[in-house]
Amino acid sequence: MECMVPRATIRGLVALQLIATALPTNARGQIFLELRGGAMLSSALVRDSIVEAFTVRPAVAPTIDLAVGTVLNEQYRLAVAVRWARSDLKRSTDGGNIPIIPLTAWTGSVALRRRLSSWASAQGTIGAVKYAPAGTGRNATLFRDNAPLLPIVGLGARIEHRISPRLVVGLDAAYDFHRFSTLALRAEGITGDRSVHRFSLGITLGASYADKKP
Amino acid sequence: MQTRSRSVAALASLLLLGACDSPNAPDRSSFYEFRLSPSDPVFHWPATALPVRFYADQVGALPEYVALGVRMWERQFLYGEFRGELVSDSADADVILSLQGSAPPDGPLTDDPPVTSCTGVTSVPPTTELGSGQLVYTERFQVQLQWFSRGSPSDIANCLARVTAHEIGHTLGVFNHSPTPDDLMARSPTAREPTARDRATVQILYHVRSDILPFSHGLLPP
Repeated sequence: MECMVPRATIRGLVALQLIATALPTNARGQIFLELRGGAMLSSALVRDSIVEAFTVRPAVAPTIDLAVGTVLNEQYRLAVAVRWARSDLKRSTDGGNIPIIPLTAWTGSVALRRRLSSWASAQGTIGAVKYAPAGTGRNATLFRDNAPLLPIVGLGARIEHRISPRLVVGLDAAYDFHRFSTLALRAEGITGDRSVHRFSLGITLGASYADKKP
Repeated sequence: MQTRSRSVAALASLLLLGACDSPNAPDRSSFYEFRLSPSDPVFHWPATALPVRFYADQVGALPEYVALGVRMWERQFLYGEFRGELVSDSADADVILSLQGSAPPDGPLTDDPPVTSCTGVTSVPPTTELGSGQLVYTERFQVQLQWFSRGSPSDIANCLARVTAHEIGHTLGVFNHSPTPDDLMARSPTAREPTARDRATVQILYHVRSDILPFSHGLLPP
């Protein structure tokens, strides 16, 4: 099952490359770099019941994104991004939250962005998320046997304001989705994958460079 | 218009994917009583006391057996309920394991049938009541292990590893013995590691409220 993950990502990358190749080229030659800081909220990775029902989810995590991309034409941009998000994985019951382990989520994605107006754009993303538990305590967690790499798909929207010919500041909202399970969960008998929805908000600072005039 | 339809279709696909949630809850119905008597208070290590610190006498391979046993019990949990570590100073320990007599003969762990060539006993410490009515242990947990000249060196090593894991199970709060002889927590264990019943039992134990706090100098009156 896990061997399908990179294959799915590769398929997505190839699809986006084909789209990029097929698009008009009159605005090519411009690259842009973006740094984004924000926060991410994730739905539960696991729902289980031992004596009482509980969920296991990452706490709201600060995020840092770095993206590099190219202008395909006046309407479309293609970007490759990596996101770092780190927070505590927590077990939540009616009685409160108990931290389990610090958890980093690395997300790599390819985004195709479409300009909707001079100040707004929307994007679709595909990629993969890699969960990386920290510390020595992972032996007693759902990540004891593996920390999976999982394919994601997502959508996003941005409003932006140009503050100089090369600099743009933007406000981003993004959503992505993936299915989650681990070998330890399956070994325990939690055999179905769980859908995980993640929402993030962030502020982006972008700089563009033209190696030739469009 | 066509672009908008495509966007709506993409969003609908995402939502459909999200709707396909079918996790199955595991069966944890097969467990045994972890208290000696149903009226006894419950003990398990609280999250704030983790990792539990184990000290093992530097006799033979005892530290190795303790490390194996701790790792074995950690793996019975999915949600970080228990973690342990070995410490080099008994003064820092929550649990002290000692091996009586001389070092046992050196023998590798094997899959040979179990031979009873060792015993172990866990001393559950006495409790006292704090002003708030909260029970607290007045001492650390102590585990005494002993080996006999019966069987091969590997039989003795297998027995010590098995009984060490069993006694560590007691220090987790499973004070009772399993009525099923196949379980690690049976009175005379033959299993080398916790079974599904042991796992269900300890998981349930760590999801009920603990009535007793572990030993801590700071909690006890002078």
